[in-house]
Amino acid sequence: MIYFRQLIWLIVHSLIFSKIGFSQVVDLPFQVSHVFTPSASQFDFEPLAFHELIFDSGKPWHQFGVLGSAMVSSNSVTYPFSLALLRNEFVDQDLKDESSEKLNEKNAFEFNYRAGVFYQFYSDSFLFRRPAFYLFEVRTAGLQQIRFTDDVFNTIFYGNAYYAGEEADYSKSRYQTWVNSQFRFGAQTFFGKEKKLKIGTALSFLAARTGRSADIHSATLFTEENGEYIDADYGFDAFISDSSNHGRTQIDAWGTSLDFFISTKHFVIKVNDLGFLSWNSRSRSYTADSSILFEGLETENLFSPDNSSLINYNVDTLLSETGTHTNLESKMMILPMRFSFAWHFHVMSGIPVYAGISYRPFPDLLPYFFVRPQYTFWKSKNHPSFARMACLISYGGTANFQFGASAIINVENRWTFSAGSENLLAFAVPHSSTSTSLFLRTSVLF
Amino acid sequence: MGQTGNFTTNRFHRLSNRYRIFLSLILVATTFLSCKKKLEDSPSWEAVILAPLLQSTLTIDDLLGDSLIEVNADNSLSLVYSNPVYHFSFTEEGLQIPDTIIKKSLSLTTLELADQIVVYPFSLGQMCQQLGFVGQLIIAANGTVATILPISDFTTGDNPIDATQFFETATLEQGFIDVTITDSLPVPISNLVFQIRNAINQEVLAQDTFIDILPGTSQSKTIDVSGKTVEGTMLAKIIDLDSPGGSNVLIDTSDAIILEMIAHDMVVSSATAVFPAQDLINQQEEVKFFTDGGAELNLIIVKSGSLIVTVLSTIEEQSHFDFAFPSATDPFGNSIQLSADLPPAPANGVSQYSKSFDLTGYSLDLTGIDGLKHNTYYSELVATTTYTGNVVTISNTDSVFVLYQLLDVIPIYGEGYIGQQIFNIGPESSVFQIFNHVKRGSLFLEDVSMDLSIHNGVGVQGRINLYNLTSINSKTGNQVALQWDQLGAPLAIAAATDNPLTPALTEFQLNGSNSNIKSLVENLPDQFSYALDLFINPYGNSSNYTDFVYDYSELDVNLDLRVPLSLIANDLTLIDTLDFSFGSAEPGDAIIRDGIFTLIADNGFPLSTYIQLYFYDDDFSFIDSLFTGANLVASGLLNDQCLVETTQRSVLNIAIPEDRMSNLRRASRAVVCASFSTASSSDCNSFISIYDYYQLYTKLTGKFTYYTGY
Repeated sequence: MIYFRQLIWLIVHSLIFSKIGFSQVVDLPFQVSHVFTPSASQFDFEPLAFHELIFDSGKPWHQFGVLGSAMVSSNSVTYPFSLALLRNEFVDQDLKDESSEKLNEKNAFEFNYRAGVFYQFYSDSFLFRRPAFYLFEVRTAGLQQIRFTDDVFNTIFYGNAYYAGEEADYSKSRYQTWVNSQFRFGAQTFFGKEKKLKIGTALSFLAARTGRSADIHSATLFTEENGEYIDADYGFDAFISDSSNHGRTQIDAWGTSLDFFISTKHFVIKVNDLGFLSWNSRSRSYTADSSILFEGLETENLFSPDNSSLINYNVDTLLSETGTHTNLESKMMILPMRFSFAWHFHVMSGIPVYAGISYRPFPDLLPYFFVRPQYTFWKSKNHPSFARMACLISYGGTANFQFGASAIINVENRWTFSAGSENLLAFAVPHSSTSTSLFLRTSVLF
Repeated sequence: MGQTGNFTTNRFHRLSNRYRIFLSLILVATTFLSCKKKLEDSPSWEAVILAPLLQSTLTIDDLLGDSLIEVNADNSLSLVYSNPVYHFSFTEEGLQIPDTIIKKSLSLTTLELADQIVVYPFSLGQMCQQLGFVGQLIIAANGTVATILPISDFTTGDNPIDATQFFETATLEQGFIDVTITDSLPVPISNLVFQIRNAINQEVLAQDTFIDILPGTSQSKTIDVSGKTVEGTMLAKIIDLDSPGGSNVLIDTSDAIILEMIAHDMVVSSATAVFPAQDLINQQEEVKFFTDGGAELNLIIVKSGSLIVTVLSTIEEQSHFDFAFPSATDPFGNSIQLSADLPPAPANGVSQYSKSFDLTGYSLDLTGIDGLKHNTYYSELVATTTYTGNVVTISNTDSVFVLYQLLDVIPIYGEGYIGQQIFNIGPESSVFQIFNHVKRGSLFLEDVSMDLSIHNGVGVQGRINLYNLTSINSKTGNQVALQWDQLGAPLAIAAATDNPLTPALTEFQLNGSNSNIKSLVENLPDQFSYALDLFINPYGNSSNYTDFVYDYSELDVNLDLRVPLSLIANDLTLIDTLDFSFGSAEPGDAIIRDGIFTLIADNGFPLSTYIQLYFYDDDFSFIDSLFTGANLVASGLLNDQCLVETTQRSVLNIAIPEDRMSNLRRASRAVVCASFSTASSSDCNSFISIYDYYQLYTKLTGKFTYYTGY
């Protein structure tokens, strides 16, 4: 239960401060977001929030709401380990060991959060001369995504002595992080006599800061058994956004993104976060494709060391001696787009099921598969209130097997409260779990 | 308070349930947050790092400094070390130009008055007025031809002569009045006695007699008035006039005896007068200064310094002076010149004019006016008065004073005779640093030589007498006095040569055959005591004024040690204290918690070394030592020729658990202690030579737990 409280704390902290102190760079998800979610009958699982049937009262309505979510996901790093990292706590040996045991050759970790307010409405003739839904949303979000080899994890958390006499391989590891604000506008309309064909799209403008990325194409590190030398071979590109002034209002990047979906009675196809960020020209990039054999710092006399040679050893000399080229230049970064497909069907009366697959080229290790049945309570024609429960069984993405649940309570077709988590197992067996999330949302219809 | 609480409670209950749930959630969240400790900046963990830290390849140059090592032809090495014993700077101690302040009084050479001419006609009519009846007859016959009766003992009254427009009074050192009598009467003058006297004090200035002056002729006489005081108002008088008269002469009462007086060549000792423009002073003046060391210089080039010239005058007339200082010339050959007006001095006072000259870069010729003197410069002063038309009083007791102030003169170069000086130096001691860190043990050297070298940068001969040189090892208290056949004997020092300046090096070698210098060095001294006399120009002015000295000229006495590195060291222990800081750590700082550090040494020297570091705190209280286990760096392996053929590896582990690491963080000083012993083998049990290709390769690696901090 303590982990659940800690996750609550993270989410509340995210909502209130829009910041979780992970290495001071609190980061930032582009959560997959459905184009809009106007329905009081909606379940929302993050990160896959897929489109659902829309409440259609046949008359104009307006809805205002707030939402927040946070998720941590990995295929190998345990939930307590992630929590210790995110809370800037000491990572002890046990935490390291339990994660290390789960490591694969390729691993992923991500931590995303977002918080926002939205306003959406139904209109017969706002932009289109037909009934349509429109959405305005303002978000702040953070994202941190890593794909790494087991050697990266072990070197960082155990030290290179772990590989004494061996070679550690860090190739094809990648990392990216940033914080952004998002201004989003969407529209959705219907086609067909029964309005079963739905098409929606949303356009977002992004303002980002505190960005970093690293892409290690190939890198190995050999540590001589007695530490007499270290042999490193590496090729990487890295980037740090403008760090000259980081007031809370500073913007280092502008960008745009597009969401799109099309659905029929039984199928939904979605594309989210199709876009880019353009970091300003004060961004510093680092590039290297070199190798280095380090045998210790040269000093004239070991017994009476000349400190000046050590004092002069700084970041600049390190970059120079590792053959790292640095430039101040603008940088274009592709957003972690997601492609989704879902199928809607009924296995029995009153229990609709959604099943689908989604995939992000980065940071996902595998396509994300899910099945989500749901059941509605207290719904009657005479009473406008209802409650609905759903469970989610999923596998893939950056995580392993997950079992989640969500609930939504609608009060008199006016107030809606919803909450859910993709993986409740993290609260029950945290040391065996590597991911979880929490989603909170409330809205009022008027 | 209660009302407020009820009001709050009531309002809370009036809210709908959903609002209460929402507010409760916020309250719970806020409470939860308030219990959370302050966020750290980043997560932290521990990792074990295994890495090489430092490495070095040490040659003997690195250990001793390449300036101390000399490679011999066979690649063996010698230790060469020059230890300064005594340093002498001539500009600081030997050649100093004293501040010179000299006041010269210049008297007025001449004081002249302008020539003056007075013409005084004495007509026949004026004479007839004083001749009574006879005179009336002559007047009555005016214009006719008649007879003039003889005139005898005729005298005139006083006739004033007014010269006050020229002077009021003047005391003449020299002066002449030319008196010319012209007889314009129709009768001759047989006798005329003429007198001039001051109107006030009635002093007779001039009186003379003229005889037989024919009509229409003149007679002149020069009267010497030297020594007289002349008043501006004088009285002229004919004391006696005699004439034989004449018949049938044309009577014209306007005919006259014309008296003309020309005062000339008047040199006054004092006068209240209108003075003409004239030179009062025109004088060259030499000034001689003296130096403490008896130097007699012909030339100095001034590095810095100034000349202040002050002219004072008691002359109550505006005067002008031209001052020149020909002895000082700038690099372009220009001398110092000064031309200025001096206002009239007030009564019983002085007027003055002052000016300062920066002498930097000037050459001072100190050979005087005739070019034969020394330490002597000269100046020229011309003082003149200008004509103003005013009556002023000037006497030859008036003076012009010139004040020369030669201040803070530091020469950059001096030439001449530097002087004869003797410096008695010592007993004094000089630090000998090469064995400074040796604390104990013994060192035996195969050979030692030492030169007593004297670098003389001054163009002057010298002489040194070394009376005592003692090697002092203050750690052991041992002292070894030098025994040398030249001890106490006068040792000549050659002079430097100029253009360009080339210091003279004079060396006196001390070696095993003429001294016990080897014993002095094997005493491992940390200082030498000495006593010596240094003579400058011991034979006087033997250079005939060709000594020279630059401001950077120095005379240094050094002990130049040369030790072939063929030695036997036995537990020769060097100790040095270093500032040390492992860095203090605040909570959350990245630190090394513990670790095992390994010193790997591949020794190519024929010396084994026990090495240890001792750590102390600020109060020099012992904290810990670095090595707790083996700490021997083994020597290289010798072949049968006593050369190191194979390096030998020593691996020294230094385990520092967390508690020792904490101790080290308190350390502020580290004492490095290394004990050296030469290697030996069955073939090599004597002196071992050190060669320039010997190396000691060392590497420090660490396997340590690194706490990343937060």
